[in-house]
Amino acid sequence: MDPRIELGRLLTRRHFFGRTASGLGAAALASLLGSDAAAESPAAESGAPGAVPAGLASLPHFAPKAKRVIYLFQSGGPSQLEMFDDKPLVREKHGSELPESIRMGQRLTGMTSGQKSFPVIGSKFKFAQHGQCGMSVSELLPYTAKVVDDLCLVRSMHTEAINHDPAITFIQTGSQQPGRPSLGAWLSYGLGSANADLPTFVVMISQGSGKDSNQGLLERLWGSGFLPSSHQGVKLRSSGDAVLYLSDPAGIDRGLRRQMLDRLAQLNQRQFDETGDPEIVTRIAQFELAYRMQMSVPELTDLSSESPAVFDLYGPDVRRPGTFAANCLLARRLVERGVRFIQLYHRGWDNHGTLPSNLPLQCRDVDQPQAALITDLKQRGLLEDTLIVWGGEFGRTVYGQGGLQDDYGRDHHGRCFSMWLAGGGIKPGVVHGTTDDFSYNIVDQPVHIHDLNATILHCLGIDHTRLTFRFQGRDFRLTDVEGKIVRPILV
Amino acid sequence: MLARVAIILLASAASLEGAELGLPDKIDYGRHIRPILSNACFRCHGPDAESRQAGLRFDVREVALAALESGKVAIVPGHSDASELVDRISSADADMVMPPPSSNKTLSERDKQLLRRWIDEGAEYHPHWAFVAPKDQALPPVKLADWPRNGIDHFVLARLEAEGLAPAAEAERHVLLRRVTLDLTGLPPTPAEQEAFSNDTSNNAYEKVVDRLLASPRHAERMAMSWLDLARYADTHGYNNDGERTQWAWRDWVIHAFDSNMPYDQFITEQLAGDLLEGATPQQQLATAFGRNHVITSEGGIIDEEYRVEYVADRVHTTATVFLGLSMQCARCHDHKFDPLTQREYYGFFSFFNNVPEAPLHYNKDPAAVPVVQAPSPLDGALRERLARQIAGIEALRLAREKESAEPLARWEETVRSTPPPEPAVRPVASYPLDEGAGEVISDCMKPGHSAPVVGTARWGEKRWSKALEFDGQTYVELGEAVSLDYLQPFSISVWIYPTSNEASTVTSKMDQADGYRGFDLIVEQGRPAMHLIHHWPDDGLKVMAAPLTLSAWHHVVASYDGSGHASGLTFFIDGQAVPVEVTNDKLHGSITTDQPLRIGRRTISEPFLGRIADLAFYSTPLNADGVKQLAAEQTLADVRKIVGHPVAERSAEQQAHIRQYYLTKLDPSYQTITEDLKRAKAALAAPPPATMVMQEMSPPRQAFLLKRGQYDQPGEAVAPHVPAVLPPLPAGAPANRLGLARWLVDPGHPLTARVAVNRLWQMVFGNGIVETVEDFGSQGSWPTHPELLDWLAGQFVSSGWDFRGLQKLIVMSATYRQSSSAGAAAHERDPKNLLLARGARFRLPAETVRDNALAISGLLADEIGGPSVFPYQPDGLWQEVSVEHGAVYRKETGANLYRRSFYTFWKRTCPPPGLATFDAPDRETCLIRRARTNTPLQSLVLMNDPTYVEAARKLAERVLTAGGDSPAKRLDYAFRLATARPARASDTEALLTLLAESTERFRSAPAQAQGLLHVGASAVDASLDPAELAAWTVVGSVILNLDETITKQ
Repeated sequence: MDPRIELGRLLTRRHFFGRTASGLGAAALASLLGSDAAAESPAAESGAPGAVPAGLASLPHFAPKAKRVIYLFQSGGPSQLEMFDDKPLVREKHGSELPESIRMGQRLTGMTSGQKSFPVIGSKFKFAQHGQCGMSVSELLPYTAKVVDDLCLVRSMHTEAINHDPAITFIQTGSQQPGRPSLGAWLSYGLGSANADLPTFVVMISQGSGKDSNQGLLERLWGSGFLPSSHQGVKLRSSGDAVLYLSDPAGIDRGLRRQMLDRLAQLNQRQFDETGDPEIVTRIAQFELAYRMQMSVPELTDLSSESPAVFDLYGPDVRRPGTFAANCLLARRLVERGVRFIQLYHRGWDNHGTLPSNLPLQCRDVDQPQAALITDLKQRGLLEDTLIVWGGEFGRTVYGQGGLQDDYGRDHHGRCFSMWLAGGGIKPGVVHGTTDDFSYNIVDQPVHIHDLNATILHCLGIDHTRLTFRFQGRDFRLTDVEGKIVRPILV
Repeated sequence: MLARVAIILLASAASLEGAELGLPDKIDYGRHIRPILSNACFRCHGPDAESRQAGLRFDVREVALAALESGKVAIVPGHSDASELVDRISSADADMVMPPPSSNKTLSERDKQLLRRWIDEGAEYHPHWAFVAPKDQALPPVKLADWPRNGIDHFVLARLEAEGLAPAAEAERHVLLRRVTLDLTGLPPTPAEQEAFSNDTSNNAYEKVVDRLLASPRHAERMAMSWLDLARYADTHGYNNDGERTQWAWRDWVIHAFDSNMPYDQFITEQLAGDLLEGATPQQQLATAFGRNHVITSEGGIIDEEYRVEYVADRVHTTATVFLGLSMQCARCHDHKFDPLTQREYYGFFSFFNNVPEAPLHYNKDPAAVPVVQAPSPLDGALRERLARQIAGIEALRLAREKESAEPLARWEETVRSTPPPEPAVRPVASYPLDEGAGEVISDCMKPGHSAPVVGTARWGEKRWSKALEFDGQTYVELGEAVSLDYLQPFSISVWIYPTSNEASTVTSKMDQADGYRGFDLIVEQGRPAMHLIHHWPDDGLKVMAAPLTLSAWHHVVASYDGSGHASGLTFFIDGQAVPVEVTNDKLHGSITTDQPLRIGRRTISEPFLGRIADLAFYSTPLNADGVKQLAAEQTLADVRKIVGHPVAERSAEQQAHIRQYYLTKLDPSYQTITEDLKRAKAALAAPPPATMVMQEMSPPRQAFLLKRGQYDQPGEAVAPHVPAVLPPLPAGAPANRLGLARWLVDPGHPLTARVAVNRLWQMVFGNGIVETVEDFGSQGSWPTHPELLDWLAGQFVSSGWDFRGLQKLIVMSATYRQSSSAGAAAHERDPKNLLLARGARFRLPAETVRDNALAISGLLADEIGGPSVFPYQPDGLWQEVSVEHGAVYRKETGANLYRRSFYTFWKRTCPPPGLATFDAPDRETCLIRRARTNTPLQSLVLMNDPTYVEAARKLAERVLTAGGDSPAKRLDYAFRLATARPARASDTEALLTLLAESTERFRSAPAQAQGLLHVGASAVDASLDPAELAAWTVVGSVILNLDETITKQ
């Protein structure tokens, strides 16, 4: 939506605006239209306020293939060995010691560094080739297996971090330590909003069915770091208000709220007339946006208009608010409404023990809904300009945590893990990168976290070296001083 | 968007940089040239040797003027046409042009002209202004000679006059009073303060207000609040599992320091190195918590040294940013790209903070990481008095609640009598209440008609609230084949006992002593409940003994057996809790059935019971913890029903007290809250001082190394503690440790310390620093808008003995400060950020003050100072959503702690308070000294719908209705005075009285809606007011609290 048209609507709709529209002043208009553009001028780097985040004038740097992103983040570190990276040799050598030639004395987490023996564990789950592309996927993902021709599987992701906090902070913000803006915040800052009535960057959290330990999530993962706080992700919640403080209090209905806002605007307008401060005009507009958000969010989360076929597609969980399935369907509805960045977190992948009993539950949570999301978007013609990213902060070790056990566990492993991408700008039906026979090291086409982020930005028409923000004298960017675009996976 | 860019250019063109769009008359290296070189060239031709290209650097004149390898010369003073620099920046060849396209940097035409002219004028260099000590500044002459009130105004006015501008008129009195009160205390002026000021006609009326505000403890709180962001204060450790910590005693230290106007040099010294002072007091040690407020991990499996290095790096970053205004962390991995700071100097600075004997935190275990000090808060005396007062208050509430209970208790008793007893969750197979209370026969209430005589004397004693059979050593009961238990069947036995002897006493048994003790018993032996299951003693039986219980007291005992034949299958619960057991025999292989009757009070013939027994019941299933709890509740309720069955007159005083206690503790939520509050307050009063994480020095100190690429496991050369060469050396005789570093910082000749502090205060008051980049005084930082003023203020500050309060007074007494901010749209367009100060400051209040202001306006604000952090309203579930194992649950408060000043709100780093975060409060993971000021729809939602603001609107309404006069117009006027410190305008009155009338109408016809609105928030509704009218005023109050003016300092 064009904010200027929106402003015009705002100005003409209410009689008291009519009186002052001409006297609004250029500065007021500028404040209302969003100031992030101002951040491009060094004089305004702290980010002055704005009504509709408008994005940077210089963006996109080139024609984007994707207009928006759905990031299906799997928090805890899903096991590539059980899902996407089949290793027949490990099954053969099940129980034997991980060869020193493979391990090469690399650093381990404090959880297994004291182990005397590192027996390799063959996956209990079978793999088979699927689709025209013949992608090998585990039996734990029967629905995903049906859409492999739409996926680009990257088996050669790697990260330096080996613990959850630094790893998840790294993949979401480009730095292992706190303080940097998240991917979504960068996109909000750079690209602005395509829907004034909804937040630009939406976050949804679901709880996995696996009983393994649930690692914490941190607000910094969707935080704005040193960018203005208006760019932080807004949580869409399944209990209470969908957006915090969305509902009018008891006793105040829409009609009364409208009356209150009209009077409020009238008094604020009077104050603007006296002071000339354009912030006041912005403030008036923000109350109007809030009012519209109060209607657009319930409309968004009300699934009653969805057809039975859609419910069948996403599976039974979709009817339970707060599940991964329900969040996937909401993601599609957000995409339809032009929301720029939709970040899902699904928790519970940290399988240090009892992996064979818990991983299938986790997979069941996500398998049908994520396949449904791809199918659904495709049917609606939205997959071609929506980028979907799936993965966690790292993978898991080929050796068993706590040695050889029937209901085994695996420790964190950052040297290689699997992620997949689909949709806007990404080549479908391909596998990128190869790991060694133990899924321990990468032997071909490594993709670092910074490379992934550079590639995501590229799909959105952004040169990752040019989306910068000056803070404490330095021009920071999401990919720090690294990042190579993974060209082979691009269309 | 395009419009916005155009307007910025326009604004620049029109005014602020007006003189500079064309070229300045005199080119100044620091002001005009260095920013261009720094931004566009230093990355490859600057201080960092490693990334330096072609051996060329522009930050050092000799090198820039020397011949290059190619034979060319980058800068030939006086000859731009002979300078390679000019050739390269003018080149159209992509391979030649500088800066290269790959750098994403470009030079404007103006930049290029400036560089050319600067070279032609001789290419003079000057050191960066911030690294040179401030010079004494004479007050510049001004034309409008009667405007200045103090030195500040000379500098501001001189600049305005140079720009052809005039200052704004002085703000109206009420505006000024509200502004200065908000600035100095973070709270609005009360109606009484407004009246006093408006009636004070003396010449120094304003100064009296300023002195009053500066002396107020509210001022100390406001200053402490501003210190928390930069000290990255929080109540949790941050990172992954984000456990809680108790650093609040340090926050109290800060409040106390500001309250006593501690000189800033001492304030710095104690926080950086209080532990190293001669004879350091516990309070001085406490001050050093500043160095330990950083995030700390306790994630399982982390590598300790990696994080220890991060903590030291955080101290370096915080110290450099807060006190020096330098981005020193840029030199952690390589020499600084822009400022003359080498990587070696970084580790020299690092070395000062590298000597803490710190231990890593253990996963979910340690509340604090050593070293800690258990020093009381400096406000401890007041905190204790407050707690004692609180306890007395809660006790009074409790008594009152007990007194008020008679009527609701009677109502409740009636409902108990009129409803049938609930079905038990698990039905016993046999149940002997033993509560007959008279006679010599007992019965099994599960089997009507089954009864048995009491053998021996049948005496009946009190059982808690009922009766029980007494056992004197001769008393027992025989019940025939009442139950049949065997070793491979699950069962449970539940009983209330009041044992009086340490001797082995049998509660119940079915045992044949003559047949190798075949059977079972439940006994009390050495005060411990125990059970035997025996086929043949001792070779085929099991015995389990539970933890001891108190003699001569009632206990609920449950023995639960899973039918496994093993001792591990036998669990004991005493008073609802599973207790540890000792297994003394565990080899049962045969049946335990016997023909002997079930007995209460002895075995076949021996081990008689001494004491009282009641409510003996047998179940055919094992009971788990929930089942036991349920059972105890059911039996208690059964007892209660017995008493309730009797008229009050027939009850003993004890029974009546019991019944009331039962009702209050189980069924009256208010009473439960009161009891909980009381428990908490008493615990707080009894608690020892909290352990605060503080700094200590290792002896000998830990050797620091230059870490290659900043990596913890890549040590390079050893480095001793030292300060960057571009700044003065450590003072003579100062030790090379944190104390020496503190002495160095507060040396009057230090070029940065005073300027940085003064600038930060300026930002707080005017919204922008004189150096706008308050966190960066380096070469990438902003050029000061008023360099001479900054130096003059820094000089005043140091020569006053670092008198922080005096500095504030100087600022708020100035004519500059007192200007009106209502300058009109044209002024805003001319100077959007008000950098020239041709008008007063106008900007939205900080997050904490937005809320504090609403609480104060409504009269809800609690005035307690200091103490542990508090938990005001927060939507449910936020902590669980993100915490490890969903383990963290927000602890909602009741009472006054809901209304404390916002900077006391518990700060969870991974999930900061949402109402504050929405208004740009940071996450406190790192030091932050300049908050964004955004204006978003989410802020509108908070103001409209957060219960905090809805409740405040209602309390404002109550206040207005009770104290605001007798007409709607007077009341509205009062509301405006409370919220905005000004009378209502005619237009305000007209608009809001219409809303009031319409809303009153609406609520009259919908009383339930009115009640709904009035019951938002925990505070009591004033029942003397008409609900419809109160609700309508609440609506009006909400609009007033939501006004831009209300949340803005102007």
